[in-house]
Amino acid sequence: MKRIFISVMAFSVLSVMAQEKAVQSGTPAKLEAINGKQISVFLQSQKEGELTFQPRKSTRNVSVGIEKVSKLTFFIKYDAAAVEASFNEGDYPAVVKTLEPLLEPLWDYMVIENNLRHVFRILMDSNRKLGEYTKVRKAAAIFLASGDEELIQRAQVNLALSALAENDRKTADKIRKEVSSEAARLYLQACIERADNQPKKAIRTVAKIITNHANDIVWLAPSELLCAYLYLDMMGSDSIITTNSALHTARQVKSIYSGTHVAADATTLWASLGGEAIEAAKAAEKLERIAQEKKKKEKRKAEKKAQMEEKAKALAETLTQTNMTDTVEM
Amino acid sequence: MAYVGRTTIWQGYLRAGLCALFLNSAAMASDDMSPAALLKESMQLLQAGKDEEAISSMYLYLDTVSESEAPRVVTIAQDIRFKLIKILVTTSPPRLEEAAEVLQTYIDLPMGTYPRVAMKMLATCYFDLEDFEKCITAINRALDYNENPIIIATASVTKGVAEVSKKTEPDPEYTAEELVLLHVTLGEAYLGLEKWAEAIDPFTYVIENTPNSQRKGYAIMQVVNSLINIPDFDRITDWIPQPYRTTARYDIRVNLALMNAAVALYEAEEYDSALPLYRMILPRDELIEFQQDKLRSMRLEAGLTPDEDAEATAGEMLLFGIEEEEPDTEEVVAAPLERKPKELIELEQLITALEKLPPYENDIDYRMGLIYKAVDRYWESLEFFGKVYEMDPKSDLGERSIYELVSVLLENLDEVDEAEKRGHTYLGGHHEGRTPREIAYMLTGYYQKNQTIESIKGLAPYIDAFVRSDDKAIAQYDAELYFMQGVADLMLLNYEASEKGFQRVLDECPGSHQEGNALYWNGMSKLFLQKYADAELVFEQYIKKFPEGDWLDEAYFQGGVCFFGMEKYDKARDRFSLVIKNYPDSPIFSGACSMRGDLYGAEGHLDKALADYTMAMESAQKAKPAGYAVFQMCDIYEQDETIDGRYDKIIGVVEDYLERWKDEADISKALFWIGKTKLQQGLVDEAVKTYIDAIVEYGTDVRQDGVDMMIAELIKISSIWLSTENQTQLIADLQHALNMSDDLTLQLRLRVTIAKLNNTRIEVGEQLLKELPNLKNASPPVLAVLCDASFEVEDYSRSKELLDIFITQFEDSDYMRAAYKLRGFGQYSEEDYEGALETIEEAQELYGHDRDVVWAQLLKAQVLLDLGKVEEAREANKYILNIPGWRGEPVAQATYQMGQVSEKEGDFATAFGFYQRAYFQYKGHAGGYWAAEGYLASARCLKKMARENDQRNTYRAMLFDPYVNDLPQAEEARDVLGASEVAEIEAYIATGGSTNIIIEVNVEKLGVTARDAETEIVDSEGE
Repeated sequence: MKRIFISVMAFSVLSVMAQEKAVQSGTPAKLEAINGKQISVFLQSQKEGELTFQPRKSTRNVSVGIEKVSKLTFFIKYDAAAVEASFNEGDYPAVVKTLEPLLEPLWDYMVIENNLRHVFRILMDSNRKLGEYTKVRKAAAIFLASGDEELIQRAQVNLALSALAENDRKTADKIRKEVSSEAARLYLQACIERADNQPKKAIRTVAKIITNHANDIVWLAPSELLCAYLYLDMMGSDSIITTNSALHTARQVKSIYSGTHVAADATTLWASLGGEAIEAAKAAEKLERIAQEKKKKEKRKAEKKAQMEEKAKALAETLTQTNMTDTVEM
Repeated sequence: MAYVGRTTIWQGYLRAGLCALFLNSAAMASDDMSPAALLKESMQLLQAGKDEEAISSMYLYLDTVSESEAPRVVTIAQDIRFKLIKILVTTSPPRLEEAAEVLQTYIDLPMGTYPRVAMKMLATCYFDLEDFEKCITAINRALDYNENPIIIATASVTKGVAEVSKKTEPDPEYTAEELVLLHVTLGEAYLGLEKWAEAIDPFTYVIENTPNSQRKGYAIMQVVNSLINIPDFDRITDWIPQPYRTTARYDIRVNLALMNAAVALYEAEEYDSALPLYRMILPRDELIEFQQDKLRSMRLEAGLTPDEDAEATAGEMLLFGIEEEEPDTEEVVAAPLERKPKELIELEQLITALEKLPPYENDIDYRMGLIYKAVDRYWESLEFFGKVYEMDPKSDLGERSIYELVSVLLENLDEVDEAEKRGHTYLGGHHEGRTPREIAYMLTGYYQKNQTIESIKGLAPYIDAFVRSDDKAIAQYDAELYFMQGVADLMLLNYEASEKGFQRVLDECPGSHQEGNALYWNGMSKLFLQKYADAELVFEQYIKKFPEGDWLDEAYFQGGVCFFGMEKYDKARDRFSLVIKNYPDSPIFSGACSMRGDLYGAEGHLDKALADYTMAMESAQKAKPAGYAVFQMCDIYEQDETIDGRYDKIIGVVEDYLERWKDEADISKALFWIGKTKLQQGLVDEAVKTYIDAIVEYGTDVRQDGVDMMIAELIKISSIWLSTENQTQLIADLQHALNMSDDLTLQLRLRVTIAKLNNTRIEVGEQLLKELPNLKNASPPVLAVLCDASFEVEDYSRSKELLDIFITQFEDSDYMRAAYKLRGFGQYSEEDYEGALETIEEAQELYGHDRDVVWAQLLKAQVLLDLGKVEEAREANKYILNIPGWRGEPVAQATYQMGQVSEKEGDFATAFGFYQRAYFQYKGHAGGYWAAEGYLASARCLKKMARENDQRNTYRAMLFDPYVNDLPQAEEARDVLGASEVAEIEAYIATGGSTNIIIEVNVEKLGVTARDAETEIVDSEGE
């Protein structure tokens, strides 16, 4: 018994010692090399294309060129669904509040393919929506070096839109010319034309995206939302466009892209144009119509019933008279 | 046995036949074979690949043991059934009905090893046989069994073998994939029975459970289809965006379903739902390419060459497992089919179907354009229509697209320039078919709505270039377009063109829907052209041809107007009476009353006239005819001194009129009458104030002719009623109003009024001619001053323009006479003698013997003389001498002109006589102008008669004559006589001497009596 106790104690001490020895600094992650090999590491830094890490249970720093790394997997705990939901509901402050502290230590690693790029992109988009253009530029610079075509495009568009928001059309146009996707290029062109107070020209540009890139999942939704704003811009100009156009466009974007942040933005616009009240009125009108139809139906039914009763009564009377006649004849 | 009892008769015969065949060929002694032998034989045949014989043998075995309830026999029989099923479904062609029968037996009996598989197969068999009811039953049974196999099995077996079934349940539950497939099949079976609502649950199961994105997308589409068919559009909106995020978009069936669903949603006006569906539909070529890639992959997976028709290389034969051995002839056809998996065959068929489908992209783009248009997203719709037109301009869709494109630009975006550019370009190159007509019609409608009538005429060259067609719809468009061209001409007051335009409708589109309208307006055009007789015939034609026509009452009325124009007053009155009697509710009833009132008035039946005007006033549906009647009544009251309290009556009717019509009333004219009445009541200051206030208030509207009447009245008041002090005050008041006004129309009116009061009319007129680039702000008095000033400086360049403005805008204005004069002299100066005579005739028709229109008769004589119509010229001049109102200066001129006539004839003596009379009798007129001319002309005649001394005497007499000797013409006399004689004469005159020179010429042909001459002298003295 005593021997057993000593063994247990020794095991416990060894375990504690082992644990103490295993405590490492850095960001825990799983590293997948380009040859497919995976190792658990504690990331130390990424500078100028060189990734420094410590293999698990080692304090030795190892450095490799990032081109040798296929993918990183971070073990950050956060409610991914909630973040996604916040973004898709257009609650950009909530997204930033959640993601910014989480991703802050990881920015340098985003040049490497990893499991957090998607949320990192969401953070970049959210920051732009909130007008945090310095942060946008920082994030975009990382994506530009990522080698991922879609992310590069998104980074370019964010950069161009930030420049435009700061009234730097020259930079915006320069970036636009560098974007590889025609749809994205047209989108930026329309944004620049809008900034130049040329809503008609801009909407013709956007219409080209809609006609020629109807299946572009990335750029079609924002393009359509842009149309809604352009219709609004046209009001009060030399155009005869009314609120209806903006309202219908916002409603369609809200409906077609439901569950996305573009739809959320469209919903905000739609509501600001009185869409809810109009829809409520329509619904009420529909209900009223249904009720009226029901009423009419019931009325018709009652009338029919009354007619039937009348007929039955008349028939009964005829029969009675016939019987009386028969009786007399008899 | 229960399962035997359910065997169909057909299958019984088939089996018997097969048995017979088998007996003949393979097992002649089968009757004697034991079940074990039959079983063994079946297995041997199966292993030998002799499927047909194996099937027969198996059926025989199953018949033989059908009565047995021994568990072992039942188990073996079930095993054989399962094997039999496998052969039946894999044989070519598959014998599905038989397989289903056997499967049903297998499932109903216990001891089957694979009941779940069998149930699934049964469902598939029924589905492939399109027996959807049974398929649904089979699937539901399979799903129930899968959940609770013991209870289901127990319930379905005979009591004797139930115990065994409880012990054995070897087959595994359906996998998730199998369950998904069963639900897909169930959903499809419901759709096959058009049970849309029931189909939704199984497809929803698929959506929620399949990991396959394409299948999920397909299931979503089927849910959408079901909801469309129910219909339940409210729920569709939730589902629509979902396939967008799946790869099902590349599925051919999904694309076809998308098209159907989109069309259904479009037709139900569910645009928000239809739009994303249309967007999801992939272009045909892209879809074919994608699916052909997929087909290649599937072929590779099935061990086939990537491309069916390609000859396999040695490498491919090695890679894709093509067998070396030569197949026999029969197998050559069957082999590829046998090798291909069912999915592959289906995909091939779908690709073939897709390839046969005509390209649908333009159709989709066109519909998307329509959807965007329907939801007020016009700019997007524009892009789609433009794209379709660009892709295929000659197709029906292309034509519809260019129409829509122009329509959106014009009617929804008000981008008129671009719409016109696109529309005109199209019309310039397309002369046939319906679309050019529709576009021309649309543009015409737009121009009409926006009152840009000139633009309608801009379409005429295109319309004229249209190639006529027998197509009814096209002919209808042509009739409409021609008619609208006529209407445009009418609105532009080009009555000759409108007359032709409406005639064109009648000639080229007989029996068209516009025939009645065209006929009526043809008549109206003639009426406006004062072709009264022609117009009347047209109205008669309308009455006969369209006894129920929309314009019947109007045709009767306008016919009356024609009679009026032809001076057939009785007929006109009858016609107006007919309208009054038969059409009391017609809009022209009031007009008919007024016209009849005018006739009664002209005949002196003032009571009847007043009664008609009263009726007209009360029945008028608009202010204008009411005003006409009221002011005519005012005229009668003013003229008829026998009417008691006539000025009160004027005030009464005018106030009633103002009360009824309020802002619509012709207030200025009403105020004119009120002012006039005040004047008659001696309230001069009030009348002047009323007029000045009214001129300032209403003088900004160029069409307020009441204001112009007040201006004329004010000038009259000033000269007759006002003292010099009050005249000065009036001018000051008007000048103050002028300084305060920033309205050009009022400013011009006030400037002209002041000029008239200051007698600076011509100077101001000359100034205005320089100032005004256009005359749109010039009211009739202003225009008249412009005419007078032009006449004064002999500038006839704007004479036509000025007269046209009067005719088209101020036809009833009394100021128009100045424009006629300018025009007449303008034409004369251009030697347009016929034109001048027409103008003169019109002026004389309008103004008769009014003194200020005597110029017309004088000019007429002059024109006739220039035309060499000497006698007519003489008569024209003589006519002047006979009109008492024209005595004085006109007679002086006429006398002089009589001399011209004779001179032209070479009768210098007679000519001399007239000229002499001009300077003897009329020297007091026109500042001695005609007398001076008479002296010179007399001298000329004397010279021609070689009476040079008399000629010189005439010049001397001229220089002695104080009426003429300081006129410019006297210079000629001075030149002829020479400086010394002229000095002598002047010195003599200075001493108070006068001449007694008398030149006598024997004149017999002077057509003027001495009495006339005396009268003239008296007149001239009197003036």
